[in-house]
Amino acid sequence: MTTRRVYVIWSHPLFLDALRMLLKHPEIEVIGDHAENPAILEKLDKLQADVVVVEDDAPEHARRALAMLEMSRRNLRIIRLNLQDNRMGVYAAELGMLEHADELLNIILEKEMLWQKKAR
Amino acid sequence: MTKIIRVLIADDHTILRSGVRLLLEAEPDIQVVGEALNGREAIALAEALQPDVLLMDIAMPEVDGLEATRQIKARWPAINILALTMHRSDEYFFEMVKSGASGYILKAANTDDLIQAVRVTAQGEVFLYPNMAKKLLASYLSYASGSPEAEPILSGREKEILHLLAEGYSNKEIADKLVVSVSTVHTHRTHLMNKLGLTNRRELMQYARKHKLMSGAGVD
Repeated sequence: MTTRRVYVIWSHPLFLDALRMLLKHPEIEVIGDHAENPAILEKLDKLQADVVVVEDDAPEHARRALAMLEMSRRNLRIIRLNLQDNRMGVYAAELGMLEHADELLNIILEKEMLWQKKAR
Repeated sequence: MTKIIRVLIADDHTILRSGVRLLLEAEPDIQVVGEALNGREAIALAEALQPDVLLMDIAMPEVDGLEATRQIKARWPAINILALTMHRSDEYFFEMVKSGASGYILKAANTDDLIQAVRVTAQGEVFLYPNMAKKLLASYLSYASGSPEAEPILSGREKEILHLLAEGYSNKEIADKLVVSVSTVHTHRTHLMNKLGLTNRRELMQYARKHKLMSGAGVD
């Protein structure tokens, strides 16, 4: 069984707690989360995260640092979620809408690709 | 024996709604009896389930949280409505209070605040997030002294971007027009929306219309 190591970066504590609850899954290990700490981005590479879940409206410095990290580590997936609506993005270009919370788990576990979801 | 608090959640945001359900159900005295995706569903489920507390988002499709609150309180006044929202703006807060909400909590709150708010409102008491209590007091003092409330202060650039956004220009178009980068536009946009307590373009357009910042009227 492959376990995905997930790191969550979010500025709203309530949403952070909600995400932690939703990510309770035998194949997912939440290796850390943080509300707001730019320095953590430098440590993410050392933490060997497979997936980073981050808010779509993250500050510019955070988005830039994540983009750099994504480019340097091809196997790292960054999932952007929007708190204002149900938009979800995987990598920079793809965007889709979440209809059920399970879809987030499926994307993290790579059981469903976002392009498949969009094609439905 | 502890009375179980029956909660209905009305929020169009899938992750938040599902996550909040799990957070609340981890408490032994709270049971989530239903979930509504919009205000219309919230009204129907409120009638069918008669929850003790209805956790109500404000910005929802079809019927928004304000209108749903008005209708529910008019028909079933015993249902306690707790607004759970991203809106920091005074306008929404006072509208929710006027509509009959007995609590107002921001999505920026922590889980303990939310659980406390559910327990307090379930008893028919009022729960206000600390910042909101300050607003209420400030408004009362302003009313008592006869002075108007202060409007948020926007910089010249923020006003310019607000105007262009309200006119329907995209970030890229605004960046081209003002000869700045798209990320600069994004940053100004984030700042001005935070200052005004707005969360999306629709609210921004409503704000612009109300404050006469748009050249065309009736755009939605």
